[in-house]
This record gives sequence, structure tokens and C-alpha cells, in this order.
Amino acid sequence: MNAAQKRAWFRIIVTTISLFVFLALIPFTGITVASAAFGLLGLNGYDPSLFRKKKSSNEVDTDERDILFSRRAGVAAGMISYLTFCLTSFVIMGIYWNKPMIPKGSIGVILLAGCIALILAHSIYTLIIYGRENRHEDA
Amino acid sequence: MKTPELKNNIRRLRFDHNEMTQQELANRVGVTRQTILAMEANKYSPSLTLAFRIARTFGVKIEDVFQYE
Repeated sequence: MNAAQKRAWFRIIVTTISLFVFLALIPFTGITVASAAFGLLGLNGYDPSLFRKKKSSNEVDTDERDILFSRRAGVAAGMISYLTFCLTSFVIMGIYWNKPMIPKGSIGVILLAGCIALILAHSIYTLIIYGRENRHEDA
Repeated sequence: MKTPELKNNIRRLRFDHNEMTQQELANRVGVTRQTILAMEANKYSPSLTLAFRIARTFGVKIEDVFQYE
């Protein structure tokens, strides 16, 4: 498993934990306070520094092939994120169709849904690409 | 129509150079071992810069390493 795969797993785990913490807190604190659990998503910002090779090592962490795969995953994740963003917007619009206005928290929900979809889609697609490409690796 | 493939002699050249390991070659040209492995299996076509670096490491011309078939 290379650094890009480890980073993808890290992001999936952090995002899943934040979703679980959010769902677990809802019965006790309500949705508004429970949404603070998404602050855990900030840990994803540390992933580049967590799986770095030692400076003394000649080995590189990332090369042109990893960058190519990351770009491919980014395109797929962008599409899925945009789709999630639009779907969430329309669902919220549908829910509050008969109301004169929508709650301000809806904007946060829309942005958060798009953000989570982006993180998960990028990480999962990265793992799929490496899984597909490295099938011959053990041979 | 069949798409032409970029073939290479990296594996043979490694063995001709004191049985250089994939990791050693990867370190010399600045990529990961997985990339060398993918190139040897014809699963990845390197950039022109990387192709030149590999040829230079073995001390041969680029067309002695890569062939477009």
C-alpha cells in the first residue's frame, strides 16, 4: 500500500467516524449541537504529513503516476460532489416548498453534503484505481 | 483498430546492470517502486522526462528502452 492509498483510507475513516459521532449525538444533543462532530473532518487536513517518508530515505512518496491517479479521482469526485450538491439543494427546496423561507442551517447542510461526497468519492475512487492498476503487483 | 502500445526493456536492462532492483531504479529516477513495476508490466506509459531519466540511468538511448509498437 503506497502513501496515496494510506491517505485515502485515513480520509475514509475520519469521515466515517465523524458521520457516526454525528448520528450518535443526535438523540442526546439535537441536530444543531451534534453537527459539531463534523469538526472532526478538519483532521483530514493532516493526511499529507502523516504518511510522509523519512527524510533520510531516498524513496519518494508521490510521483507522476500518483498525480495522474489523483487527477482522475478528482474528476470523478467533482462530478459526484456536484451531483450531491444539486440533489441536496432540490431536496431541501422540496421540503420547504410551501414555506416562505428556508432555515439558514440548510445552506450548511448543502455545503457539508457536497464536501463529504467530495472527500469520500475522491478517496474511494483513488482506492479503486490503485486496486485495478496494482492487480498485477503481486505477480 | 488495435491501439499501439509502448513496450519497454526496463526489466532486461535492470538485469544487465548488476541485477538492479526495482527499488534501486525507482530511487535513482525519483519515482515509486510501484511505478517501475507498472511500466515493466506495460500498464503505465511514463512521461517523456521520466523516460529520459530512465534511459540516462542505464546509459542508453531512449529508443533502446522504449519502443512504440
